[in-house]
Amino acid sequence: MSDSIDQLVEQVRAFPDPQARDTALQLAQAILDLHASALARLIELLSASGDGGELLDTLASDPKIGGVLLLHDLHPLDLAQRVRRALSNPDLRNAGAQIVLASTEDGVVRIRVEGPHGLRANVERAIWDAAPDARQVIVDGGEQLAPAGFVPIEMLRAGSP
Amino acid sequence: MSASYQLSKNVFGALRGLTPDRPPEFCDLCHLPLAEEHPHLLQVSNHEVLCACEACAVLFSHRGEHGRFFRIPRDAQQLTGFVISDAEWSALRLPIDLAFFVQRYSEGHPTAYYPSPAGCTESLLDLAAWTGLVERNSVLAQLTPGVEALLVNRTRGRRDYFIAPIDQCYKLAGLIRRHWRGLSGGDAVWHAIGEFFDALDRRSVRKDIAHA
Repeated sequence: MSDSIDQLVEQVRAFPDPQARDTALQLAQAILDLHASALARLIELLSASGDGGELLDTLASDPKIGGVLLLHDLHPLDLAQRVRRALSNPDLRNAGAQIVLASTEDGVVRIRVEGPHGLRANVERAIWDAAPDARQVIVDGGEQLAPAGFVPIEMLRAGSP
Repeated sequence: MSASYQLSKNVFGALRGLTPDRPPEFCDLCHLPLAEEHPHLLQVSNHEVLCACEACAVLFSHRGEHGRFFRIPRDAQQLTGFVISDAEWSALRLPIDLAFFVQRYSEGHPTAYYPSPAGCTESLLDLAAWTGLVERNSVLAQLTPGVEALLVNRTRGRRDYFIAPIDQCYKLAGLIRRHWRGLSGGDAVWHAIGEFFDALDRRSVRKDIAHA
């Protein structure tokens, strides 16, 4: 079933009837605009209130809310700050690996993983959740272990007394 | 429909295309933000197409030997009475029925390009076949090198011939790459191609070359 937003937008863009297509796209744009202006006002009011800054911080670090704020250029943190925050997530930190943000130049996020293997997919997912606006995510290290049954020689050495 | 939407990369991209604050384009010469419709210049040294504001387009584009930038014309001409037989078209040996021909500024003869799912592909042009075409369609001898192309669309029974600005040809190549799916392209790409030619048609001046 193709019901995700990107597929629906693609389907609308491919409508053969130009009037139906333009109306549908204008409707989507108008609804997005309405939410953008309401969110902008919400942030304005939050920032003006006493402890609003802290609350805004909590809201923005939620992947769902943060993603929508990003969509409308309303997110308080830049790309590097968001990626660093995602990497400090306890699930990743407690995996015993060193996960370092190497750079975020031109929207390309580069991460270095040193330590246990098999973390790559988790790291990638955490970055995309925090930064759907990234152009590319490149993770060095943290590859999946070789299939069971194959024991690399380094591991034998490391394990021997 | 699922009630819990995570804003995945794909969804983000799709919606980002609908939000009003699309990242604006800037003039490649003075870096001022540009309107959606803006002039393009050809940088002669490397055949690169640059975006420009109206002021820079007027200021920097010169014709003649010493010009570094050429302004790419806005308008296209739809040619009626263009003479080419199916055999002549086949003799150009292009893999698809959609191509554009442009004379690079530094070279004497034109190069053929055809859009493909991988982008714009350059094709060796049979010079004898091209010369024959120019003899029967003298309008081709007047193409401005680098910025004007003969754009031919013979797909799906159409027989459309345009003198088109080069930026429009690149635009066509870009949308084909973006929309192409599978082996035959899929409905979306043919819809996009049809739309492109309808729009080009609207901004074109008709030119009957049969009696020119």
